Amino acid sequence: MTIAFRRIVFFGGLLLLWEFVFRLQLWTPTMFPGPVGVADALFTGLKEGTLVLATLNSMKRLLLGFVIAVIIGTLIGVMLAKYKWADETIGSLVIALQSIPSIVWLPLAMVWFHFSEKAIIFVVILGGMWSMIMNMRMGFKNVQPILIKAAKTMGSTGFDLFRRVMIPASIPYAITGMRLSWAFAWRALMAGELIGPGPGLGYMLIFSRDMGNMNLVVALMVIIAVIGAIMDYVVFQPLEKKVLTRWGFEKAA
Amino acid sequence: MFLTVSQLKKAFPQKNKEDYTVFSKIEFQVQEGEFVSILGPSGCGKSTLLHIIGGLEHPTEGKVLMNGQEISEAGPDRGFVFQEAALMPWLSVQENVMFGLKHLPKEEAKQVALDHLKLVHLSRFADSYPHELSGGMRQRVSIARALAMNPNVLLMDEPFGALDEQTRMMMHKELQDIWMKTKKTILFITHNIREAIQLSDRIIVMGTRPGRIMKEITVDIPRPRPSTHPDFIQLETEIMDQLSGEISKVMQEELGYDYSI
Repeated sequence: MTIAFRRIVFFGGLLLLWEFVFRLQLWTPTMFPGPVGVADALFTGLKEGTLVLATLNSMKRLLLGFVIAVIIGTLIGVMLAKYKWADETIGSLVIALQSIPSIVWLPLAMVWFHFSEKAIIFVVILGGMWSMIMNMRMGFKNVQPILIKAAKTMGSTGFDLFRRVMIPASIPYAITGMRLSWAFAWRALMAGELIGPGPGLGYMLIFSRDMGNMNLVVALMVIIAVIGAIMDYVVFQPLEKKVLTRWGFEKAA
Repeated sequence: MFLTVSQLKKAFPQKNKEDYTVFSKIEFQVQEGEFVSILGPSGCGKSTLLHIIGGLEHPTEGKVLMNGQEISEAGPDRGFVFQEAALMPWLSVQENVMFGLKHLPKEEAKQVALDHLKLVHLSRFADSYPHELSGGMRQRVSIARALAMNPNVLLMDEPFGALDEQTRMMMHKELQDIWMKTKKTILFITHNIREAIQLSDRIIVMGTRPGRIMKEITVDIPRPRPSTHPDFIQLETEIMDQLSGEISKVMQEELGYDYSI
């Protein structure tokens, strides 16, 4: 209750400050849009459906790319943890590749996929994949040896051991990996859409700037921030908390 | 013979040095239904010995026979209780006890698990998760989990070492009850002399550097054994004398010349 109250006061104050600075008219409305104009652009965009369409299409790309990134990341991560030779070869390649910002792949991807939707999804996958790989690798390497020993004394070996001990034991790392993966994929998507084909939030952002509609630009930024916050607060944080408590990393509140 | 340990040796290779021998020429036998403790100071390799019997480690020389069969891998015929409870944190208490019962139909496995939770007085906590239990309760789940598989022998590696004194005393009582009820063969590792006298039919006293068996003592004090019983005190003193040389050996090695009595 008090947390909600504090947040309302904080964000209310922030809006008032914004409006106050806007009314000082230090810059032109194009340089510095005010909250009323932004709210209006947001409302119009939602009513006319252009913002809804852009948001839905962006989410579709993100979800598709994210799911593929998680699957590939998990497979490669497990392989790196399981086989030393893979870790020594593919592992160092992964470390080299993850230092390339995923947007750097876009020019190449545009050629490969003929300026289509696939180019953007490709960049999203690359954005999300690396942290998933690294976390799954860590998760599998850090399974407590005593749990493996205990399982062995109960007759669990091979694939059974893998399925009933290794996988569940690494779930906390998988959750952290997914959370990071989502964040990176989201950033990659926005960057990709600024350059790539629409419809999408990033595409609409550039389009609005070209039309000189800065209210809409800021409205889009608000949508992007809100979606990010919702995912974190509603999906990942509760999930992470639940898992960490259950797995005994954190005391229950 | 039920469980036979014969000419067992464990050595670890070292860089640019001779192999480090943890113990050698370990030889003893355990009868069915017997409660045997292996008592020794730190570094005597008692824990390694138990891991070899459990099939979690391999001996350098010698072998372990169970009902005449040589042991090479871990298996559900030997229930193992570690110093830590080693429960799967993502499983409920009951599911943990069911871990080794995959071969049974689900309903039957549930019932067997519940029966064994009753045995350790934890049936009320069947649906709890390990992080919600105290250390002593977790160790009881671990014992129930090992017993649920109906193993031939229960191997216990200093199972109460991490518990506080009061909890440990309660656990001694419970373990004795369980042993009387189930008639399980138990091989119990400890460095605690009283614990060994309290619980065992027979105590195998190990010395250290190199690890070896110094003495086998049959405890024939009637149960329950109050630690004030004259025979108890006499046996305690006897073992203490036996081990005092070993303990100062460990201390001298660890602390160097600063140590003397």
